[in-house]
Amino acid sequence: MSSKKTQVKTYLKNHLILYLMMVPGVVALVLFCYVPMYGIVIAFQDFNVFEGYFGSPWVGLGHFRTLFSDPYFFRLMKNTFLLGTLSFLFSFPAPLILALIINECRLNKFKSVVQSISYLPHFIPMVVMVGIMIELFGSYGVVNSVLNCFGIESISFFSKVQWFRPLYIGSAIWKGAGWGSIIYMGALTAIDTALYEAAEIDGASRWDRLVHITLPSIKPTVVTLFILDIGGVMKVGFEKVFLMYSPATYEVADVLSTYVYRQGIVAANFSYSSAVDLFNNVISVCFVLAANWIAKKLGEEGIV
Amino acid sequence: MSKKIKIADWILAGVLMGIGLATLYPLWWVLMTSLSDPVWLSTHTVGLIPGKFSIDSYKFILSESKLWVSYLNSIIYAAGSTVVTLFVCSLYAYPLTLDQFKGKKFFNTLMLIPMFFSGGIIPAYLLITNLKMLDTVWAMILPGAFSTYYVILFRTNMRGIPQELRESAIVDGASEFRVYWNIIIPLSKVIFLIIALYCIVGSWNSFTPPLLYLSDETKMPLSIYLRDLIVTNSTDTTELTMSGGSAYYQTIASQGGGIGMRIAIKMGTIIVSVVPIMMIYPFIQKYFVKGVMLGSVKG
Repeated sequence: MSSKKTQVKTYLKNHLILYLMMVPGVVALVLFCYVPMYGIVIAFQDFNVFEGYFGSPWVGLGHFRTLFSDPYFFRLMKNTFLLGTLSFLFSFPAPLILALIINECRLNKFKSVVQSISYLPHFIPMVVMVGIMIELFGSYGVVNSVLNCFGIESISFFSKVQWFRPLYIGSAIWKGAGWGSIIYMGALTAIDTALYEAAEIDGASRWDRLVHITLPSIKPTVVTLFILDIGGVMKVGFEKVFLMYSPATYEVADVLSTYVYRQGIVAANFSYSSAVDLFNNVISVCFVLAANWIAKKLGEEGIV
Repeated sequence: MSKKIKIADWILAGVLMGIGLATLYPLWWVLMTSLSDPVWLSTHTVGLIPGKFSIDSYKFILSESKLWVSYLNSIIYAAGSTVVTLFVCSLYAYPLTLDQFKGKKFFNTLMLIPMFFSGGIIPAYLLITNLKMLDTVWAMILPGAFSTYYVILFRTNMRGIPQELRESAIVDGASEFRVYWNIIIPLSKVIFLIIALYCIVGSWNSFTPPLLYLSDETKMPLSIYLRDLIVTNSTDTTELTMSGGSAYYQTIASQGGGIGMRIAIKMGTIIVSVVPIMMIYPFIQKYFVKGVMLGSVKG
């Protein structure tokens, strides 16, 4: 009988190659995910590049105190929260409504063409989309020439504070609604057609079937995506705001993630910007957990 | 009753048509503006079609060497990151599908934690700096090489391959790597294709990593070139006159087409940059949709 040690040895001898196969993945994970996680310690240090992670002096929660007394703190929080919440309120229902319309339409050929078209903007790079918007809404763009036709003076949309949020949200719907509808279409096609047939025999109208069969059937999908999206409210992406904003619109457009970029990468305040980023991440996680908790209270399956 | 349904269907179709047209119009407008005569465009705006067609902007774009350098860079980054990502992720996924593989739980947890927590951009930037990867092709390829999402897709898919195939190959003396190479890969072609397409599009469109990690102009990908040209307008008239198509630009400008030329060049550059993806889009669309469906099944 072989002892435990030799058993381990034979196992490793036979399976060593499996572990070797995982090496590239493990190295990439540790290096690019776990090392930066450790790097968060600089939020509690007065980090400078020469002394590194281990030599820089500790300052405890000092940077967080600075953040809370930062003159921009309130503005950043308000902008992040409002932009995230408004985007969520308008962008969340859009794919669901689109999927329901597509699902209800019985002209199949036509339906599939529209579906294909609706996915297309997902593949347009963010920078191109913003570029197109700038021109469409620019002084030589279609929107302003239509306004001029009605005798309204041209509006410089990208430097007006009140237009930033509508443009941000509208373009998000243009880009994401079609792609987002795919997941609902999957849930919709999974509904047992026997349910509809039975309802039809019982004399249920089209609207009744939508309300009593379709919507309840896709409810789990809707709830899961709802929790995921609500969790992302404070995680307003850097890229799009960065491309769309300008000092003229900072008042409504500057969010935590863009502030991190300006403070960290541009101004090289590594410690302070890490603290801002960490703060943003912590509230984001709180949002996810809160959304999950509420979903569970309402008797739905959570995601965490 | 049947007549009523018919009306409802036509209304729905009308709404869908409106949505489809609203989706396409901005892209159509870009294409048509890029095909406009610069002099005409300086005083008019394209509605549906230009008042005067011309391919002047494309003549200029073709001679713009900075664009083609960034185009080539984008191709290199996309190809490199796709190959590396496919190998890293599929190699990580394969052992996780085997019953007798010990440590599955550890490796699963190891890859799931980064889905919830991340270090953020500053520590990542400092890491890339410390690794001396700033301004290298590696900064565009390696940080994104591991993706938990792709590993889960690979794992779900590879689980569908019968274990007997692998076992009989092992009995015949094949090594695990040979099994992976000669059995698993050929039987997972579709998922490899789907993930490759995700990687290509993701890399082609990526903006933040090059913004953070690259500063050398000759290494910039298309996304950064486009930002400089279209969004920040930093490539202005003076720069246009100094670059490759200077003489050409000046001829047009002297005819009063300077403004129109600049708009047409921007729109033409957009068209040139999205053409590769738009061309293959009809063929790859179903694979993307398949990928979303697979991903929504929890692994």
